[in-house]
Amino acid sequence: MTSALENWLGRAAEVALTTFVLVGFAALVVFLGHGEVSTFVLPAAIALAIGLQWWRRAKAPAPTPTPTPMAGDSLWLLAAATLLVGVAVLLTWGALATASRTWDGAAMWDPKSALLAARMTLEQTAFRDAGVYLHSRDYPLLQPVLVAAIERLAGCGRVLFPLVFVVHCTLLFTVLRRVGAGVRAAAIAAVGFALTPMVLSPGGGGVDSGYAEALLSLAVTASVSGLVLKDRLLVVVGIALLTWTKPEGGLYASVVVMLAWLGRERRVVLSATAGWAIAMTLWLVLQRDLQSLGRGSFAWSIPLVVAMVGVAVVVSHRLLASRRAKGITLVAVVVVAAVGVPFLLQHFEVGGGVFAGYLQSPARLLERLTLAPQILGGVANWAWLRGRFGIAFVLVVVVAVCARNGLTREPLRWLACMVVVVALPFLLAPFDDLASHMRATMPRLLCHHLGVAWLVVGLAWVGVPAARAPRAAPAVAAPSP
Amino acid sequence: MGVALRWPAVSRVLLVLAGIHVVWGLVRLPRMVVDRQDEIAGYRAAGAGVWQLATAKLQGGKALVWLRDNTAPDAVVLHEGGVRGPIEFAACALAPRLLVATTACAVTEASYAGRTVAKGSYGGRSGTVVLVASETDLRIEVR
Repeated sequence: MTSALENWLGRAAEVALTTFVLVGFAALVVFLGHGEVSTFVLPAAIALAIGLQWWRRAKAPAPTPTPTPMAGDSLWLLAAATLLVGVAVLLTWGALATASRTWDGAAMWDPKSALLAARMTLEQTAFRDAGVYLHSRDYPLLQPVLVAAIERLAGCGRVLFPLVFVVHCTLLFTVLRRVGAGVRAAAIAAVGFALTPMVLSPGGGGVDSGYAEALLSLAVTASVSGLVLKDRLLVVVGIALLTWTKPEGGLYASVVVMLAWLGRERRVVLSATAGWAIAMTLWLVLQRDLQSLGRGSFAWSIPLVVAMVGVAVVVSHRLLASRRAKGITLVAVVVVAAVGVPFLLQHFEVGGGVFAGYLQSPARLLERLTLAPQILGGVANWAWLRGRFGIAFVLVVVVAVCARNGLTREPLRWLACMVVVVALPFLLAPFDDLASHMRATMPRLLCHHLGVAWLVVGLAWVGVPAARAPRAAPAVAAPSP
Repeated sequence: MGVALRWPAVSRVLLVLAGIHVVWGLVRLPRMVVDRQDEIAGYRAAGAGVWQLATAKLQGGKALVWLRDNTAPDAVVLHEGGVRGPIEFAACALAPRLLVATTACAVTEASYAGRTVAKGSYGGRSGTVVLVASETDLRIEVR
């Protein structure tokens, strides 16, 4: 009974993630064609996602979660589920009671959701007329599109936020079970994530605040889970969600490709690169369309450059497998990336783009290097003490120092990369007061990686004898079909 | 895959720490409910935009309320001044009205993009209503 329920939960989480991506994909394509998205995009995407899941499972049946649930596990599962449902009810109330009550939600995301709910097209004055006030016109549109799609169909668009929370908790639980965590370990990790004060807080970055942090955090967890499980669907879905949700998501998606590239699974590298190339091309072309108010010509350079990067990733991955070429390949890639990435980011922006403010004076990075210890101290301070993350990131340090295993490698690599990525905006951003900038931004940036932190904790228990861990036993990750 | 913890005792330490985290989260749950209740009540009482301005310690809520009460929902409201600060909440507070910069639509225009430019009487003057924004305040001018 428990195994069947777990399989069902795993499939439901994947269907939800795939639906988000399919809706986003359809909307981006229609927007690029200057058309209007149908109200039925959501049911069509759900049907397609269920079909895809059925095909996936028919091709390779879902493995029975290991270790097999034991007596008493049903009670743990019931307790965790009851708690999560209770929290989800609280968040649903918070999300539906009013529109967004805090800054980014009210200023940036809600107006776009309302415009798209009225007419799901960019061919309207607010998007196409520079004279009309629209905050961050060239920001990624996935969250407003999803809210609008639900609003048009069911009249409760903001139910997306608690739904994202439920999918996130379910994903954490089922991924941990798939790699062999015990029911209790997986449940503790999912509940630990759900009860983190930052997640539950009504303020900015909380699930029901209307910010896009919850969706981006889910995308991060899906991507890293895909890398752990070698599950190509999760990797691709995660990359697409990252790219289309927030500007920094494009950077995260590139890091996912980099981590896949550092791994040995060629099929994962191919899937991640293909997903990244499609998601990036769609978004960068649409972003340019938004910046030019729909009047620019199609920028062929974007798919061309993205395709070139994709080919370089795949070819260099083959070279990386060669012992003789490994060193020189790594050096070449680091040099090309250090020069090429800032160039590409600048090239794809039209004047006031999202990254333009950060990249307009790259020399600032060198000037600010003396602030690096202060900024890294700030990352630690907000992660461990002030960021309302409980002790989630403290547990990550405990695992990294004392309890690493083969499964925690990818998530720990991710978090190590993210220390740099989180610090980077503070080295590049145009601001006068570092302390206030960190106070405003740092908790939200760290919030994106909270799911991965709990994934690390859960994975550390895999392989621990049952007497010492919350019901875990050695297991083998199930590869994706 | 699945190598055991280096120091098995760490597993129990992790469990205890995770337990503390969960219990701490549970203890805070009632406060989260109360915080939300207060926030929702405050928002409903003040209205969209006004609530955000008040909690961000910014001025201009009265201007938003006046515009909501005295302009048509499908009107264009002209604005000028800064584009950061309290003006960021005006678009959501005044929706479905559109905020249009005076640099794009002159105050003498009667309509813009097929919508009527908002006009009214305020402070003893009648004419086109303009929302003037600074970094900390919103105010209405009639021209």
